[in-house]
Amino acid sequence: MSWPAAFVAALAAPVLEPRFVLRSVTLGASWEQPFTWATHRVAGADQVLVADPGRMTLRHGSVQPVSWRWSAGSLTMGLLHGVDLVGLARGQVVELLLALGPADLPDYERVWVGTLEQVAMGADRRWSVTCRALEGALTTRWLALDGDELGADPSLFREAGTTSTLTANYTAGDSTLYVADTDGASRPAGIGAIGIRVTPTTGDPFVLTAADALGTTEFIGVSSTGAMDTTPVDAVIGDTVTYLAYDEAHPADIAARVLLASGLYSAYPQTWSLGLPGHLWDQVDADAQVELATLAARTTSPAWVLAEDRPVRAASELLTSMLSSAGFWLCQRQGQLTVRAVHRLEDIPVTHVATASDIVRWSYQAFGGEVEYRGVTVSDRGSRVAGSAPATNSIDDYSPVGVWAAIHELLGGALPPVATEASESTSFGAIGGQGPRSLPSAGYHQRTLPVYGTTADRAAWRTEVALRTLNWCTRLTESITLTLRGWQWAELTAGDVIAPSWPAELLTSRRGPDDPATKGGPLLIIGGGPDYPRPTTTFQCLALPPADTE
Amino acid sequence: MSAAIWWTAPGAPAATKLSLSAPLADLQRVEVRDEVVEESLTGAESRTVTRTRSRITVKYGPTHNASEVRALEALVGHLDRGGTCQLAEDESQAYAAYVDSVATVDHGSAGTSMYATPWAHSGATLTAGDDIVLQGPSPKYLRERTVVGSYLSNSRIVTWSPATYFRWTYQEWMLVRHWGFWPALRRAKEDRGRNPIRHTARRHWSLELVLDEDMSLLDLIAQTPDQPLLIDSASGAPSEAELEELSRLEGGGMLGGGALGGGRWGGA
Repeated sequence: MSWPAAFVAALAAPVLEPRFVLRSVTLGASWEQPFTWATHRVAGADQVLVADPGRMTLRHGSVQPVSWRWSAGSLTMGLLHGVDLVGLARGQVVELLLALGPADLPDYERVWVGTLEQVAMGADRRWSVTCRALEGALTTRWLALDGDELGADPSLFREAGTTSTLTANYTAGDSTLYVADTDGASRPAGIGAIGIRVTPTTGDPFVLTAADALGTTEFIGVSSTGAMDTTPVDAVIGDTVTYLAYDEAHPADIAARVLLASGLYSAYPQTWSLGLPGHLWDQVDADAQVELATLAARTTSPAWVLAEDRPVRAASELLTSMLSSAGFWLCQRQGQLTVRAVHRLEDIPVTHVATASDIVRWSYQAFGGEVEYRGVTVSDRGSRVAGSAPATNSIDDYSPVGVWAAIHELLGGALPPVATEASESTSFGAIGGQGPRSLPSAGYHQRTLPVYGTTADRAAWRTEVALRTLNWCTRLTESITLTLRGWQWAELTAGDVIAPSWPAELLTSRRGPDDPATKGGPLLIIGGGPDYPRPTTTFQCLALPPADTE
Repeated sequence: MSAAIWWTAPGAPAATKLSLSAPLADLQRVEVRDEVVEESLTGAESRTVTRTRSRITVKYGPTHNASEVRALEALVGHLDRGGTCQLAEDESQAYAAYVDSVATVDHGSAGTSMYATPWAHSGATLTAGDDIVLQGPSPKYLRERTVVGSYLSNSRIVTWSPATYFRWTYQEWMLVRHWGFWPALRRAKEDRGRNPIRHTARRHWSLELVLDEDMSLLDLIAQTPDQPLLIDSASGAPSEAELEELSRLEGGGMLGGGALGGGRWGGA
């Protein structure tokens, strides 16, 4: 939910009298030590006045162009003295609240969320508290589950990879599967199927989905065809089956399901979810980002597949990798987690225009990137399986076992060269067929998506991702750091645009001669935010010069 | 018109009143604001203000009164340890009280009703014609000066003239005090470590102190705006403000004596 209009209006006031509260977010974990640390006394709240607004640094996150991987920020706040350390735990979720003037605690607005990282006293005997931005500090689940013993594994997908054996022969196409024990097999309630990897005595492993388990020894509603481009073959009693954490959905939806314990995406089994409260996620905003991308059909094929066969202890990396491969990233906006995606600049709505009256200072670099690519090649997992895999690739592309192991690597950006068939990849060259203008230049920017399903659907994904990422790879951007007056710009986050209205005489740019129209064009924000407690907002931005032919 | 200073040593049963034998030689006030100002290309300004308070420079003497000098040395030691004091330029004009319904004090208001004064130990009251200051919390720090028209001690209703210029309606609290009475002062951080008592051949002694309004303490007292301060410890429970000062002076153990809210460890 976005900030109320009155709060945004107050952020734009010429005189700002900020009051901050850093407090714990109660998740319900037994080890939580609730605290409320404030810079000013808050009527009606049981708080400790310890935070020094003069010694506060909020480092905002930023997204790395081309790879679209997100680097999360951090918060350091000076304390006037030590705080009660007994019971305090690293990793507690905290929220930074802001009020502009006297306010009761419910009237403070959340401006940032993170986790407690450190409380320290320096050599100068000054205390400070350091927090990491929440999206960069996701590791394992916060909450123990009912019946958990002390020290139970809090890993995400902790049952993933559980194995059993067939207790009856399986013939390819059967709708049931009999196993020694279904324990460890889970699925998203109501929206998903159980993912089962079968390793037959003869033939390659394959993946089946089952609608549900019946009793403790039988799966029903088993798919007649293989999932993830695998082909079922006959299997016999004693063959190994492995239960996966399996879901097919838009990556933004998968991210929400992994993050949240409740709300719209409560469908995941508890061990698949980090357990964050729903109010830390902005579903409306995330939906708008997904809709802005041209591929709006988020619940139908093609299937973007999450398939984990091992517990995950670094959820931030899992989500960052998954989202970045689609040109999405998990970030913060207005004190909540959400997603942003790279788009064509012209597709992003301009909501904020900065005039000379708003601009305090800026710096400019004519060449903002490292290289210009000749084009973009997007392939999908299907093409990788169907195509001829490089012989040097250590991953067996024909083996579903390799598929699981490869998921992380595939999503991590360190992709080996992939041989693709024309029908299974989407290539976009530079505009007008010209090569890059700046040196050094590079070949095609390559990206592989973990999508499966029909050829047409896969092509839709490839085209969409290629279109969105193309310009940012094939044109060398300009880099601008922009400092603006006030905090009302904090509505924006990396991935949004801002349109400065430069005084014409102040800046020439690669976007053309002294043409206010091009100079006033939108800039893509890739990082930054309000400079609490200074009365300014600083953004790192990219500008896109027109193509040579334009 | 002699000046007076009140302070309470930790563990003392009641406040110490130091009545000076002569008026102050000087008292100058400046307003100290912790703020950051940025200007845009067109000169439009944006500011963040995090703290505001009055800073006064008090001069007293020269004096020959040895017992007075001894008392002042004790006071300075108290202030250097982080203690607070109250100062009245005229000990008969040492009244301060919080307004009990700030929401009614708007631009053009000519009076209001007040809580009982927490500084009852001074024994002072308002009288028609007294110079008074109306002031609010930091960092907004509204402050204006006016003159008492009338004061009803039973109902604690005061009228003043001229009427208020500012809109006090949305302030967390509003303090009415004699212009020469400073109900919460501590030694300015920058002034500590300098001996404020000077002498000439040990015959003439003079004092020069730089004191800051303790806005945090005024905030804290405003939480219980009519609870008497500096009471005889045998006759009632100490206030939150007194506990806070005690914590500051005595230390809070390993975690240190907090400058703010030191008596309230643990949060929620």
